[in-house]
Amino acid sequence: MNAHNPKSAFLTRLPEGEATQPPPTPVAQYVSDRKGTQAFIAAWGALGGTSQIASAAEAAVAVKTYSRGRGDILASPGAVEGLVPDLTWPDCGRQAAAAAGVGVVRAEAAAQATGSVIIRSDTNLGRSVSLLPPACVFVIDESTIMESLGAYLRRLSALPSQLVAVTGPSRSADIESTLVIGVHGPGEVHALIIR
Amino acid sequence: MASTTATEAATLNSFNTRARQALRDERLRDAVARSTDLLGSRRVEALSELANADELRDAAAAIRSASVSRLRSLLDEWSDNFTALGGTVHWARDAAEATGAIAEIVAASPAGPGAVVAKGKSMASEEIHLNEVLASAGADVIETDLGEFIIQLAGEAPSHIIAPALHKDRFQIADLFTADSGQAVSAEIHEEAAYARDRLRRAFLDAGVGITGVNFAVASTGSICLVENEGNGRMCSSLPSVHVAIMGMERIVADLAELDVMLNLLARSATGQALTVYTNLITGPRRDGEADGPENLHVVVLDGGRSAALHSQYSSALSCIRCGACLNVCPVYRQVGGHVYESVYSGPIGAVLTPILRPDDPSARELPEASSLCGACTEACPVQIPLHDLLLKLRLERAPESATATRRWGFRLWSLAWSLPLVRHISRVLTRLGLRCTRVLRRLPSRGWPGAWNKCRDLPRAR
Ligand code: SF4
Repeated sequence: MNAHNPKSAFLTRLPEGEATQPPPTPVAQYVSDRKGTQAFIAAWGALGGTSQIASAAEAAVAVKTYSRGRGDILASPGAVEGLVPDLTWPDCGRQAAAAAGVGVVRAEAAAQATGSVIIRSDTNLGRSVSLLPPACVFVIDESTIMESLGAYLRRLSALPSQLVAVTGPSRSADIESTLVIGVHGPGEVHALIIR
Repeated sequence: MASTTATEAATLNSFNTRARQALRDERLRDAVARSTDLLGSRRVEALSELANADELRDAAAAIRSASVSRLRSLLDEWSDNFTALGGTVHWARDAAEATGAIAEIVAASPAGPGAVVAKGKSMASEEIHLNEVLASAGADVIETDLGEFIIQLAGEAPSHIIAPALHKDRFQIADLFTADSGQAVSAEIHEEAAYARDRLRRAFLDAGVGITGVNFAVASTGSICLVENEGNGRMCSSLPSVHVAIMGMERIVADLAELDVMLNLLARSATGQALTVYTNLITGPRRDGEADGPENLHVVVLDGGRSAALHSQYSSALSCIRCGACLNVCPVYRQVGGHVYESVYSGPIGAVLTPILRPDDPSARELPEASSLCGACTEACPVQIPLHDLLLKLRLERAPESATATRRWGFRLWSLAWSLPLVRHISRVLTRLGLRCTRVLRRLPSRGWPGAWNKCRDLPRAR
């Protein structure tokens, strides 16, 4: 290693460290015995998320119905079969996206234990769609609802540039410990579960 | 030696003065008590949802201490993976190197040195006083976490690791927002949040550079993990074309299984949530074919006194995951809040970390005195750092230098006297007598020291 290399200069000051047994990594177990879709809906609902179950054929209509009165629909191409969004990301540009009312994204998986939806930057073609609008619809295949985020992570081999587990609507308790919903990210989150 | 003692005396006095001042501030004490109570009880509730909380806690402690003891190889592995993905690592031995590197990144960004910099919450950035450095280079730095935004407007430092503006009430916040906007913002919490949302949304869309902290780096995948509730961390790491993340060099785990264990405990211990609203796992900059995300991703790895701590008896303090649980249960923190510590880190972990990271600062060395050694912090800590033990060790280290000649001689005489049976007997008789007198003491008017003493202490019964 080159002594003038900042990395090796930095690392050589750290102790070598003996090779030890790798530490245990137990999987979390939960007291609640609820399982599956109903467990996810309950956990997601407790956080303030709404949900509905629909067939693939009903999905586009469900998105339209949910979005009524909430403003323009922003989606990445092909997010929901048959859906014609008002704005398509990224062609619409960021300013228009920021003015949209509802973002629609396809979720990679969902976690029942914590009420989390997992989205990936590679499959969704855009981080902004689920971030900028004040409401977001996550389209979840029922078969992808699993035990926990941990179960999903432990199964991964390659990671996308960004993977986000969304656990409820954006929130803050920074003023007098009072819960405020929808501070920067979407304040309304809807799980559209496809049977 | 005499001069050291004088400065020591002066600083000791100044901590006490600050604490006394805080104790007189009823508004502050109410706010701190309310928030810490809430956070503390939610933590207990959230941990009770886990059937194997104890097993997870043992594992978390083992994972963190394994990481701390093999930082060299983990950082090496992580940085190789991260660099292969197209990220850039900056190795900063101290605050100057870290701020220098970040100022250069901002200057070289498409928006140039005057860029709007949207910043997420990062304790490491507070450690290095990043905002001042960037501002003096011409950047427009804006804190985007609601609590951090509030204290940035107030020109203050965070008073709690996870709730930086916990000491402010909504009336003070309304004043700050009104001054910031030039228009009246009412003291209604939802209206205040809405103001911050609009104000900061503009900053996100204009920002040329986003800066965030790092909760964990994952060695095997070259990722960084960032947890947050508001979505500002996601904005800072998704919208600007340059993202800079600052991480204390110890914030690393080996793989995703270890990350899972830590995530199960971090939010539960911090706010009582099962997970924070956003768990962001970032693995390199935007890739080909992706519609958005930063083109340039930098991570600044900060030593800042940590490698020295690694070689000391206090290395276990580097296991800290900054959950704030020890603050919420600390009887000292709960009375005086965070500012009296005059450090980025307050409460028990602050009283340990500050003197370790700032060994030459006499005002940092007095912080371990700010503890009743009750051990509530150790009990609350999800990674089982023996906080009260470390506090005691730090006190011990400081004892020889803080003792005055009178005190030294006093104790010497005392130990000599007690080694003689007769003197020991006499002293017991005197003690018994003395304790009888406390009945009289109790009747004294509640002014001055006897009153203050009586108010909160009971003397033992003499036999
Ligand atoms: S010392 Fe333990 S309890 Fe305190 S902030 Fe760090 S991890 Fe949390």
